[in-house]
Amino acid sequence: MIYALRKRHRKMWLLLGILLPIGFIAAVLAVPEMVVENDFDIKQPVLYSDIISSFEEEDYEVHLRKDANLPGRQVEFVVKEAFKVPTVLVFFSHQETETIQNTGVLGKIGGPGSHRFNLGNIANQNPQIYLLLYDKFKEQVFKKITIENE
Amino acid sequence: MALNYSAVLWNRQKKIYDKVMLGLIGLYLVLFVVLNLVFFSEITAETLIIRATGSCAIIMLHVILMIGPLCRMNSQYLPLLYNRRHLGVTMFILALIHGGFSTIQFHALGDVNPLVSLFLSNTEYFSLTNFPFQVLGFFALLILFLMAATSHDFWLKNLSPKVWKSLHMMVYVAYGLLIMHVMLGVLQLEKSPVYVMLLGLGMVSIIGLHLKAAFDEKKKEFRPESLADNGFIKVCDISDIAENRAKVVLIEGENIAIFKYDGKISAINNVCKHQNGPLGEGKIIDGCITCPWHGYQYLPENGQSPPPFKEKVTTYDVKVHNSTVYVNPNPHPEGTQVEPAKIV
Repeated sequence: MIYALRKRHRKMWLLLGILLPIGFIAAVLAVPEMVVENDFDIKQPVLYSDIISSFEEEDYEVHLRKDANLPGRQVEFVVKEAFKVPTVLVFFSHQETETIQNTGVLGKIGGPGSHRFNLGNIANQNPQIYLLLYDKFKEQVFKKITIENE
Repeated sequence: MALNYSAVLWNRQKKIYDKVMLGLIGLYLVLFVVLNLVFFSEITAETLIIRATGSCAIIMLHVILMIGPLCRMNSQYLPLLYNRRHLGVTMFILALIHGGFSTIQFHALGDVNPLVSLFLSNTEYFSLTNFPFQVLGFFALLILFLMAATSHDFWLKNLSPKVWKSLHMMVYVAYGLLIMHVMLGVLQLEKSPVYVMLLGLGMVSIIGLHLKAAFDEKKKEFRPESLADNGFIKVCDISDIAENRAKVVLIEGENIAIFKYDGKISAINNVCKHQNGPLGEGKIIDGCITCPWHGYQYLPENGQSPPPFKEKVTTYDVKVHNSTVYVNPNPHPEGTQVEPAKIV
């Protein structure tokens, strides 16, 4: 190496010798005490026994459920193929709507499997349930689902 | 060293080097896959590929970065340096597979452009625990790509050794990015301290070796206090220079290698025209000063590569008086014939 490059080399490693250990130690200190698992499965409500009505798409199914021993209604999403949208939120409304304004958020849908949300007693009286699938990343509704509550 | 263009100058040493390298990489990957399948039977093929290539690449990067300072401290390691470029390009290919599969696995299955997703799916840039560490890997891969793409002598010649070497020193930045990529990525979820300790050990070794080599060299620098009247400077005793070897001195910014051979003393510039290798750390083979890095050769009395090669370095006047070696630091133009000083 020529002298100038050697000098630059020395300075660079002096700098790295200070910065890298600082970054390394900071990263070690930042390791969380407890890694929080995806809490979706933990909070998954008990599956209601009876299907009232269903809605089917190629990659997923939606069932509105009831159970004689449990209050209210339950919406179950059975995801067969993961959504192309990275983060899908489900919104619920009693009235037909195009946007998530004046709706209630039920939760997030993850990968393939059963994803369940309890609607409570208030949904019992409505003849139809309106669900909106919302792309959190693009901040837009990408699917409207109407499901019969009969 | 070759007169005609050839994509890769294969020789026996390079072939052995590459075979050993590929054998070791293959062994590591097979062991990694087998052990993972035994202990984590539910692991998917994609995850296996991502982890195997990523871990192999980071280990290789540590090996690559150790070679330079080890060679400067002990010439026995020089054979490792000879074909380091192939090691570097192979490491880049493994890193590229790791990066490619990670991007597909984590960012390409949605409806967002994978690159947009890479930068924006996690925007917690001010958090250490949740830092979007993949971005660090992306920039490191970009640097490694530039290095791999310009690794051939074609680029060395066209960019000039100084620019080329500066570009390739970016590997240190890439190393820093990759340490943080691992620390803020997979190791944030790892409960066992073993991996953190291993990475820490590797990092301390790399920094320690580079700093030790750098300061050892600084100590060795010969800086005369003043010039002698006739322009010659006292350098050392003849006995301080081993036969067919050199003493390197730095005088007024001139990096001079003073060689002893066949009862004569000659001085040439210490910097090889190929990759700025240290000629003074090489030795005289078949009458030619041979660069320890890649074997480029120069004649000691005129600094010219033997025909048909055309590389030339500057030469210096030397004299020997009462077994003391003197050198004039004013360089002659590259390739100028200078009468060697006779050792009486």
